[in-house]
Amino acid sequence: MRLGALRSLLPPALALAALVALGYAGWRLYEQRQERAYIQALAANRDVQPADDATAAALFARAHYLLARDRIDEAQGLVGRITERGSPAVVARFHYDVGNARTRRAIAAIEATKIDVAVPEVRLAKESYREALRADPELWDARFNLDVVMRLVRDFPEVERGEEETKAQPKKLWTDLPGLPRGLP
Amino acid sequence: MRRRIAAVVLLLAASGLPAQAQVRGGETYGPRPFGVLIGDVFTLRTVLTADAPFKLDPASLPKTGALTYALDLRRIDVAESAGPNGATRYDITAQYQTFYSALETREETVPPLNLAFVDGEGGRREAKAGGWAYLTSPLRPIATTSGETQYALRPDATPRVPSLREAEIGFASAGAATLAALALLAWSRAWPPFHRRPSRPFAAAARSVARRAGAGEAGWRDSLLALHRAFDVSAGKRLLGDDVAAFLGARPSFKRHEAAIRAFFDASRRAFFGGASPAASGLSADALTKLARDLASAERAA
Repeated sequence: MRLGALRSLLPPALALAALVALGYAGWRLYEQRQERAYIQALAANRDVQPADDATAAALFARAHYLLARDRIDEAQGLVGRITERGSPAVVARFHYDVGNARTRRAIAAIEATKIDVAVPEVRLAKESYREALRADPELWDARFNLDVVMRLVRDFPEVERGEEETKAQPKKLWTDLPGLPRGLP
Repeated sequence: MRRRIAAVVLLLAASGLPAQAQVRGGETYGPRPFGVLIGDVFTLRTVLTADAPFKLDPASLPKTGALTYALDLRRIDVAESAGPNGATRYDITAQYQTFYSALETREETVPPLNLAFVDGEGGRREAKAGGWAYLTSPLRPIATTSGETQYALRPDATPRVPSLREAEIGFASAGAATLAALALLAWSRAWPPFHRRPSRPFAAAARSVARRAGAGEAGWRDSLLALHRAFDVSAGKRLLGDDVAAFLGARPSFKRHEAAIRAFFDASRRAFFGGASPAASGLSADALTKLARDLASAERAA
């Protein structure tokens, strides 16, 4: 009798479960389609705003769009939502792109010999690259670019390291900043 | 593979404490101490034993975050276990990340942890342990060689256009599963296209009864006949009122409706052999519809 009840109840229960699964799968597909369309729109240079519940990938695409256009402050506004929703890899890529945008600004300022503008940008770029590496130490491009900006404007860590070491290693004050000739002779 | 690194442990005995109670150990184990590049993460393990009644003061552990100019403490975990003679063994795992941009291969150090141990009665001992030295290497040459500009950056990380393949496969699978489940449901209930299923005579009868029972006396009689045909098909022979007991004995799932089935056969005899009207037979159209539906349901559970 119990087996009989199971046999009569199983088909409707299965059908209900399958319908629920279908609804969920359809909703997911719809969401991913929206996200994909949004990222493609940004890639096609259309200035579209992200939805309030946009995923970290969509927000990162938006940030990348803004940073490529030197709109760093607008992109920085997305940091909270990306950190909250994104995997460490996406967060790292966001900070890395911010660092790159800052470095591009700094290099432009150096080339225009506006050193006082360049120095704070380099400092912020360093912090962004460090943030990227904190989130994902395997982002090797961030290591490389951090190394570039570290040499661009050298910090003076000797304050922390003690006097005698400073005297022993004077070449640590060496910097990449202007003076080096560029281009072929 | 971890290599044991000699570590200098400084034990500063506080005054006024029993001479034998002390903090021992302090060996630090680290990964290979060379070839460390900017951005590398490494984990140091320090083992200390504190004699009773001393316990590690958790407040003396460093906070995570920037430790020095180019060194971050990413996380620090302390595992406590009981040692001999009531001593406590502390296994401190600290994860560091270096941001030192080396121009040449040179030695860098991880500062030791300044740990404090308290006995709960104002006694306090301090120990330095967990220091480490390693060789960092540069990532790039000092002078650019390839003729590029000195500011050549690695390119931006570009957003990936996500693939829909996985979601599409999920949706298609769910669709196929739904179709299969609906087909199973239709088959189980003998709905179209399975409405001619031979093992579901009562399901077909229930549909015809629901359609015809209310349509006057002729419809009512048709419904009685439809239900009779269903009993015949189900039993495999022409079923009469006297055979009901044997029929029910072979089909336990119909047993619940025994009274209604007997009432049906009585009413049918009165209608077809006594010429009784629906009202006089004692089986109303509603009761007939309900019986047909119950029998169809019992048939599914058989």
